[in-house]
Amino acid sequence: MGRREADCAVAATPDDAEDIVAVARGDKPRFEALFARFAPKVKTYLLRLGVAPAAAEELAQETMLNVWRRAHQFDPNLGTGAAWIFTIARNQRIDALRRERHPEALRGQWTIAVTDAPTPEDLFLIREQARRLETALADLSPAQMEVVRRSFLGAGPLSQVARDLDLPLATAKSHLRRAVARLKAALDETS
Amino acid sequence: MTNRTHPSEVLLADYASGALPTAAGLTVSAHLSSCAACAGKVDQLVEAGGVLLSGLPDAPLARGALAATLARLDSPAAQPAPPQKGLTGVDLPAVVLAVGFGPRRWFGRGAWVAHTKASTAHGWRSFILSLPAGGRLPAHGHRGLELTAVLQGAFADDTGWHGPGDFVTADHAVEHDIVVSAQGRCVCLVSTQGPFLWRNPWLGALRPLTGL
Repeated sequence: MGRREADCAVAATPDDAEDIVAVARGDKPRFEALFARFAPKVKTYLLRLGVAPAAAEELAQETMLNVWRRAHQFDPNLGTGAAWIFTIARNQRIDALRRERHPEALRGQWTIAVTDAPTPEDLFLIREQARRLETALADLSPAQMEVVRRSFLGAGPLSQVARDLDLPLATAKSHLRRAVARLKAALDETS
Repeated sequence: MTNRTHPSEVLLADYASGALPTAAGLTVSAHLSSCAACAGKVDQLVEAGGVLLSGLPDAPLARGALAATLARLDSPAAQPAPPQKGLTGVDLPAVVLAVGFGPRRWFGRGAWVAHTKASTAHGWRSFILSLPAGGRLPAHGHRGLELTAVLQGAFADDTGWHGPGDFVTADHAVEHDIVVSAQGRCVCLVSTQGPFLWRNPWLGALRPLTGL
């Protein structure tokens, strides 16, 4: 376990997984907390991808509704709550841009029902993991961070990101690879 | 150039970030269901997406957004269409059943194609292709990328043999000739940008029938 002095800086993330697990049991106040934390960010995400404001509002609400309906599919052992919500928002984006149904099963990893509720120890590990991930991302060079950011929050594929940044595709790729290696290292530290 | 066995990192990153159209993502997804290494890479990329999402500034929501959402919580969700029934003797990944596919179109003894119902927006389409043991798909080229996930059986092209779980990427520079193993039929999920460019004009003439 690492030192925990950075905890106060990341007060928003630590309870995501715990809240989603509570929402799966029908806890509405915890849903409201998730809504307050994520709906405005999901809307920003969609706006940045070029979704029109009215549609972004509607899809942000739709994303949160799906968080409520699918919370039972969330497995905190497989990833952070924020990443799970990201996949739901991402799929809303694909729906919005392609005007088609995005099959749930495309996120196969998330569709396995959780049989065991996480223990407090699991939740502690998840919080630690979220904190480490944030620290790892904060450590990236600005160029690496830009590739990661554009890849996820931009509207185009990685080849487009490379063109926009005037980088060779190989460089964009290596920035992304390095970012992922850091994330992996951060995750491995906790296991 | 052919990239054997796994999708490229660029493809995985585009899949994770949502930049890949569904018809292309389907084939990547089929590979992920049988490749823990690639699935792990995608999970890590998705984790990065989660961290980035958490770090975004808040956009102001419409007045009453929370109340409107809360009011819908207890209304039953529209039931998604049940997964399509599989095909006897063919191991189709859950993603393909979830998306659904049209009727099989036979274009030779033991050779058929079934187009998935994934949207063909952005020029991508995907289909299940089954070729009989020892069968061939004659030389064809591509206008764009062709992604293939081998579901069962094995086939050889100019780069070697590809078996279950393998992911093969061919770009427009490749004109390949496919030969199926004599051991049994080969079933693949294929995503392509644009139709095949057949070297043999007769095969091109069959396009209205096969959609290939």
